[in-house]
Amino acid sequence: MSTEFPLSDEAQHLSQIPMFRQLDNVELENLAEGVDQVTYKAGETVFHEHDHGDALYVVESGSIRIWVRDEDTQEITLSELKPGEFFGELSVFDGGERSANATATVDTVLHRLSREDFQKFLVKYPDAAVDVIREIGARMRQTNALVSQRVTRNINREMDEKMTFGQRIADKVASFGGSWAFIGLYSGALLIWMTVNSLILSRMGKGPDGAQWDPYPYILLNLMLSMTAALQAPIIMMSQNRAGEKDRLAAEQDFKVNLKSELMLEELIRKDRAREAQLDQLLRAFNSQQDPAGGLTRP
Amino acid sequence: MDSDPTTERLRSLIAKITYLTTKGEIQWERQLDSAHRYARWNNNLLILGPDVSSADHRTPRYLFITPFDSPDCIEISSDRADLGAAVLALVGAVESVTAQTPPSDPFSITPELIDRLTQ
Repeated sequence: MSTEFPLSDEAQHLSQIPMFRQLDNVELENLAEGVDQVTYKAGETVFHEHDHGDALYVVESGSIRIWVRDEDTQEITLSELKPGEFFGELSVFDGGERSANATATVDTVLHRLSREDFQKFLVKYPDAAVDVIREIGARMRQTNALVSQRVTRNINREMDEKMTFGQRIADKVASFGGSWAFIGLYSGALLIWMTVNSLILSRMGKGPDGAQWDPYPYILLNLMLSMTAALQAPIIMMSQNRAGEKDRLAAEQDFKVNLKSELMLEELIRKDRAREAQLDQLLRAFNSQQDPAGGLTRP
Repeated sequence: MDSDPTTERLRSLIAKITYLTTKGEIQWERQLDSAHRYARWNNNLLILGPDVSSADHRTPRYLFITPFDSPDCIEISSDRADLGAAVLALVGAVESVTAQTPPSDPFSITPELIDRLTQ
């Protein structure tokens, strides 16, 4: 149901946000009463990871970066939120701590909706709750993709994804050809072949003209063995080429990761030394103004 | 041939790196017995690979760019139809500027290292 009276500025802003578009003017005005408009300068933090979460935010203008620090204390950007998008919903749902940091990347205006008001809103408008759940799902997928990208490339998986049918067959043949099962089966087949020809067909399997199927020294068997070996060799070589390519890619990947780690460590050590020198300088300056007996020393 | 904005930005990035390389503003390094070339630029690590001689034209070359303060990375291969020529131009530029540069040997036994260990 829609009413004709003009909307307040706050309600006008809220009506532009996808999550609130289904609300009529009265409902928008009611919602606007519980919403605070807050402004952040570029670089200002909206909240930190582990802060108590008591409100949901919707971006009115500007941009918000959602980020965490990984084990290496590197900042990982999870998402950049643009006008109309919301954040801070997880803590609002479970009442727990913030799971990430939120920082304004440019001067930004946000709508802040308290936990209680947001929950009342969702209960009253289940369609909006579905939108929120859909958005949370999309963000989880995005985060998963980021995490899997963060992990060092899995060369085995990449190679497997690019494998052709012929290469798969070659790998299977090479794998089976290099197993005890193959040796056992092959030896068994040879023994059976030789036993049948030497003991059974030599007595009972002769044709009318006295000819026998592959008698000693088993020329047909030798021919088949030669053919098997001739086919098996290139198939195994195909598989080995692929294994060699996989090793080469893995070595390339190791080189990239090792080089980056080495150069980062060099840089960290250089910075650490520079800071030590600064600290020494500061301590000397401080001590020179103190009584020698009461001066500070570095631990 | 039309190309998307991302490709265009990557093309201009490679062109910029090539230009800075020829001007000597990006210092490419190489290690003994390695075909890789690497450089630091604006807090990014640039790597040209793979570890096969540039005379081997069958193996595609790649340019790998990764910021030191982020796990993100870009890898552009010379077998890409749209950017391959730009990568190969960069490879040529880097090869020519590093031809006279002595390779570093991270495993060399230097008098300085022995002095440091025996102090």
